[in-house]
Amino acid sequence: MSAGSLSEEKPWKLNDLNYSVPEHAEWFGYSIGGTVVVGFILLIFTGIIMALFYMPSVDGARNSVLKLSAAPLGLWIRSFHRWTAEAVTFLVILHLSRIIFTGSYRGSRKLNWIFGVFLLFVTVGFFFTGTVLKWDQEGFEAYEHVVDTIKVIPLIGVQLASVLGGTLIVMRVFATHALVLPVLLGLFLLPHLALMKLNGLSPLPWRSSERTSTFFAHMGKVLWFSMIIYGVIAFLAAQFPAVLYPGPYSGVEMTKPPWLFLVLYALEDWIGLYALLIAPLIILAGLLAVPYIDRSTSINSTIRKVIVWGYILAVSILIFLIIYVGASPPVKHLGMG
Amino acid sequence: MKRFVYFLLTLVFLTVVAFNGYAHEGDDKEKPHKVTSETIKGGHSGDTSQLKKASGHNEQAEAAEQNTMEKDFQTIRREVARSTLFIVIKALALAVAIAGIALVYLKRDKQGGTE
Repeated sequence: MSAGSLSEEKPWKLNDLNYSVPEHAEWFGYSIGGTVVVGFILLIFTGIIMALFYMPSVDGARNSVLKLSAAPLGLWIRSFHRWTAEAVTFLVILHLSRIIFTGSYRGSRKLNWIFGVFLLFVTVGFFFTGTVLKWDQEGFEAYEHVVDTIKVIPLIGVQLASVLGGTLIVMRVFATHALVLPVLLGLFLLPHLALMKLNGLSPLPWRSSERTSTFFAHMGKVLWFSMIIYGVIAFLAAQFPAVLYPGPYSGVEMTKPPWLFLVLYALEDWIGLYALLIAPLIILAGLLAVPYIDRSTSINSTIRKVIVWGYILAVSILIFLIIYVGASPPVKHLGMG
Repeated sequence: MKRFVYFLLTLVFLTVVAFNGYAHEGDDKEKPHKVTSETIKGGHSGDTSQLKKASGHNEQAEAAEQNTMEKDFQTIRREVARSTLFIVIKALALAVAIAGIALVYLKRDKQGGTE
């Protein structure tokens, strides 16, 4: 490259980011992903504050959560973190639903769909490890379920469970929540955003947008929607603080998992611990297979209708099971094989 | 549109059915005990008598511990019962939100046609 060509390069400006996007980028349905990113930023900020108080040990974890709750604004920060985690999971499911309904997983967006599915599982992983970290009765029972589920893995299960268990367990879960999962989040989120820029925002399925907007206008709408959503979350955190159960006690099962995991809880009740091992794998495989099953280019294709109605049926069953188990008393699973 | 009405009606119906719980309680096999690093080192047997002997536990302390545990269990049961309403609200909110998104995008999808 000659010196002359270097001097001809235009300096980068912030306005370069303000490229054209379709007008529907300003709609809520196409801004949900952005609100999820804002949620993760809020979770990182509140998580850092909480980490300053947290003691990742079997004997100290719950007490440190109590100390945080007693500090000025401590209970609200913990409650906001918990409510935001729930909202982010909720929004991720909505984002996934919008992608399914608009068929935005097809063609060149196939790879981005795969990154998105992994991001869903990372989000669920955050939610689960965060629950365990409280190290109260709910957190301990969640941990015990994982240990017993690992034990049912053929050949290596028992050895693996003994390696993962032990007195350092809280430290390991903390490392997973605060180091491993954030790294995975970055690894999947960066290409997810880069591919979105590369492919452009997915078009509306029923017509091509004639009018355009700008990326900054889209970001403005994302921030506006986020302010409303997380404003409500801030209110809920103040009105309904996050629960910290007593305990933990071994030998009893008295709690139920957070709402998201109640589906697995029901399956575990009917099938046993194998359900906790197999059901997530089936869900993962099913979601990853979506763009490979639906290769159609028409929005009215039969296979796309099958995907859409199959998804609606799956979500209906999921919601039914959440309500069904949510309204039922807790039951004992561990030690039942 | 009709299909979504059916979908929502089914959900409402299932919600009512859901209140008929299915649980089978009260088959705890292990004696409940507080989890500490000492009990974890000793495995999940639930037998903490040796540990208690070693740490000089007497009957009075044990009775006080039992009392605390019972109180904790009552608190847990109360909080679990209280969480039911929130679970149902969250699940229904998710159902309504997904139905809303489906209504916006699939309805227009049907009206539109070409890509």
